[in-house]
Amino acid sequence: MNTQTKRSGPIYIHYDDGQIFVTPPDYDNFMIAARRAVEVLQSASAAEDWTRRFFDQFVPAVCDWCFERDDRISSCYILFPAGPSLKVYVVSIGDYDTGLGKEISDLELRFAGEGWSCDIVQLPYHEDEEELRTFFDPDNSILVHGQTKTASGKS
Amino acid sequence: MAKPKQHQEKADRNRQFLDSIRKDGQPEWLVIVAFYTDVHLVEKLRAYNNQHSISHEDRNNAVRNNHRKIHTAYHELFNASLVARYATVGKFKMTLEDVNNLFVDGYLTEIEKYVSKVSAKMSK
Repeated sequence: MNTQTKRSGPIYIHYDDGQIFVTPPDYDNFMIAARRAVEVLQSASAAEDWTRRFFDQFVPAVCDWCFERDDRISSCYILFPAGPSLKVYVVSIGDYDTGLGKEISDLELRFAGEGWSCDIVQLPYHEDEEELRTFFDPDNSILVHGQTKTASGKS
Repeated sequence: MAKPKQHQEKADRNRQFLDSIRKDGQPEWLVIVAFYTDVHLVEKLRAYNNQHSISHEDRNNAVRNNHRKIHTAYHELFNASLVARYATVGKFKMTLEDVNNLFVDGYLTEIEKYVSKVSAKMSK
């Protein structure tokens, strides 16, 4: 019998030289969660194309954007797509950073121009990942920047 | 489905309340009321085309695609009000002065001017 333990916490990726690396089990989890979003694309080839573009274009673009603002961004999560619009949560280093407002808006508009419907939300820094659950479920997300901290202080 | 005029009435009513709490209200509530004033102004624009948002996501998408000039203002009001509504007490650290300057006199006023200008054209 095949048993599977429920994964806790976000999927971690490795980003190196413009390429995203995801472990096979994490990729499977992503595909299961993303099924609803890609189903609207109706055909398997369209879904495959969407997933390829997601990992080849969208995720690296978010990673680069965060990296360029590393001194202002603590972590960044992309939620497993539950619908046609992608959700990104950017956690600032400290308090809500009003200076990031236009930059986030510009990124949304840039993605829209590239065919990605995407809502990006900024959150102030939370010491404990549990507090982020008020806004989204980290278990259904990909951590694309920074590290998580649990209540026990484990990373 | 509400008509443009009805959305403007709701926006005016929200704005009236906003103005009444600007001097001594809680900063969180200023942002929240400013955002819901903004919501009706954007819905007013959509109503000219017989459209109505079914979610914040839907409305943001409409602003992104059709009213890019106010996207930053709309997005910031949405985002700050989300933090004001749901973050634990103490996480929203902007002062009353900051909120008045940036979100009310800044972003909300920018949207009000834009909507007034577009509405004038649409009403012709």
